[in-house]
Amino acid sequence: MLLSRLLLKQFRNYTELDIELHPHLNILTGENGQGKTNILESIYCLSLVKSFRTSKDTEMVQFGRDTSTIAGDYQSDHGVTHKIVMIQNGRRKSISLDGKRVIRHSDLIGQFPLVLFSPEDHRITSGTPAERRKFLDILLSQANRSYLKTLQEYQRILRQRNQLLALLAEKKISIQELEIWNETLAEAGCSLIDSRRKFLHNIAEPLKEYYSSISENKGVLEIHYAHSSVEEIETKEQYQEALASVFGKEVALSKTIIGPHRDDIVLTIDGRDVRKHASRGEQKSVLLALKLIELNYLKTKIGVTPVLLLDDIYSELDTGRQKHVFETICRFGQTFITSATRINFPSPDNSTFIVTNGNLVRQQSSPK
Amino acid sequence: MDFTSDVVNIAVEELSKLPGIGKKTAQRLVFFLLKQEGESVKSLAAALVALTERVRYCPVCFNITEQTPCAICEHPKRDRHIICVVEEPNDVLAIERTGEYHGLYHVLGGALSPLEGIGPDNLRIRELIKRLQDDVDELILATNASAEGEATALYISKLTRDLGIKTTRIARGVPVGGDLEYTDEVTLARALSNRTEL
Ligand SMILES: Nc1ncnc2c1ncn2[C@@H]1O[C@H](COP(=O)(O)OP(=O)(O)OP(=O)(O)O)[C@@H](O)[C@H]1O
Ligand SMILES: [Mg+2]
Ligand SMILES: [Zn+2]
Repeated sequence: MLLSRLLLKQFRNYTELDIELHPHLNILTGENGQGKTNILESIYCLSLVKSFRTSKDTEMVQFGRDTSTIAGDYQSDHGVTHKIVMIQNGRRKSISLDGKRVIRHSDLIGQFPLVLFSPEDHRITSGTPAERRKFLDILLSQANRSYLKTLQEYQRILRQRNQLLALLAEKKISIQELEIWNETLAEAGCSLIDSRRKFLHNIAEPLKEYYSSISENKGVLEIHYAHSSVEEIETKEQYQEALASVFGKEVALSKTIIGPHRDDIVLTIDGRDVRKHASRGEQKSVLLALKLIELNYLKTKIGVTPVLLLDDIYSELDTGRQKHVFETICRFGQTFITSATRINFPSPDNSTFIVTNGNLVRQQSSPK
Repeated sequence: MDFTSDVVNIAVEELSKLPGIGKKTAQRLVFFLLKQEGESVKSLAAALVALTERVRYCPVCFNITEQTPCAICEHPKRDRHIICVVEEPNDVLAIERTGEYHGLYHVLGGALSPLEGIGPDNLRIRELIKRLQDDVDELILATNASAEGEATALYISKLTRDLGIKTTRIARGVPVGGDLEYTDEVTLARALSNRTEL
């Protein structure tokens, strides 16, 4: 899937914009606050019907106006053009696809898949385990509805079980009642752990490869699943045993302390934990490798090549890595890159736009 | 905002106690009723009164009924050796619509849910176990496929395992997390015939 044309009207600092886009690589450069991220935001909206920067759609309407429009022409992998128009009128949003009104906006999600790398994503490598679980859960849920269902069921069982632990602490119920929920928890929990481990197993090699192509073989990136229980859990029996071993502690805390909601995904470079020891530039490279995995995974699951948006990817990367990132992403579909500094790489196959105060000017030919 | 008529205020307050009805909707309903012919409102009122006076729970299966025992429990052609356990009376209706099931029912009145304070003693599980003493060969657990429905089915199956009664769970043709009530008949019929032993 690629975006061949983008039209904006009264969107953020763009009063009127109509541009043709490059099928492979689009580079947006310009000073801070000129509107580079705004362009990515508009493309993100076309694809996911919401922003990644705000939950209030009205914030994207240009100051002092009531309506704004985002429109795009997409070209499918088979070369068919689809026209999508999104009009924000006050709090109301209306969408049309190929001239037909889209009644349920959620129907659109997944049709024009997209992968975004934004500066906030650094949390995935540097933040708490919850950030990494979220990354994994969203990715698996997007491609697999039954994973999402199991996840929701697991969370429901967890809440019920925590309540029972509290009742048990107050000696209001018998232990038999808890056993029922241990069993259902183990069933759902095992299924989640299994899906996650299989996924990590499948991406281990390509992840390592992407990382070494970005870092030019400086360091080996590995990923593995870290159980919150002392022993690894594979079967329901092991799950129950693990629960039994922390029973006293769980009752005392009225909380379930082991299971997929406490597990982590550990990334290491040459055996050292990325979260604790990797530099900012190394973390950024790891993140990019993860995003490329995400892109490839969605591509195989949905059967459509997602558009890749890279916001401010080059800050903190040395010129060597910048060049390798550049070469690596050229192997994927259509990409949009923003950068506050000029990017000078020998690649004739791209369009570079200079962004100034809500205007895009295409640079004639990339300077050698 | 209150109305100058107390009668109106009381009606609004009573209606807003119903599930899914907030104060705004209750007000709209009251205004609607006020505009209606007196007769149609009276027959609505009569229907509501009849509900509380004539409808009760069947003392055997706990389905809602006007006669005791209920028409299903009393029906001479129903297979008395098999009992289908459901959460609510709605679920009986859903299964009856499939036309595939000819045994008896047992309505639990909900599912285990510690968060809502519902434990085994709050459901009609003891009554079910008592019924099993009368020559019952098979128990079908048709609680919802939600976390709570699964836990309830598991709880009952543990009790019946000790009694040596064949216990089956309707297959997961029912969408996960879904209510039986909203499952279409074909899916439900298939789930009934593909039930698995616990
Ligand atoms: N609703 C709006 N109407 C008009 N202008 C807006 C609106 N919302 C934001 N802006 C303007 O858009 C600009 C920010 O644009 P954007 O975030 O795209 O900058 P950027 O080019 O990505 O900068 P940086 O390099 O700092 O990331 C700000 O100057 C802001 O005032
Ligand atoms: Mg920006
Ligand atoms: Zn009955």
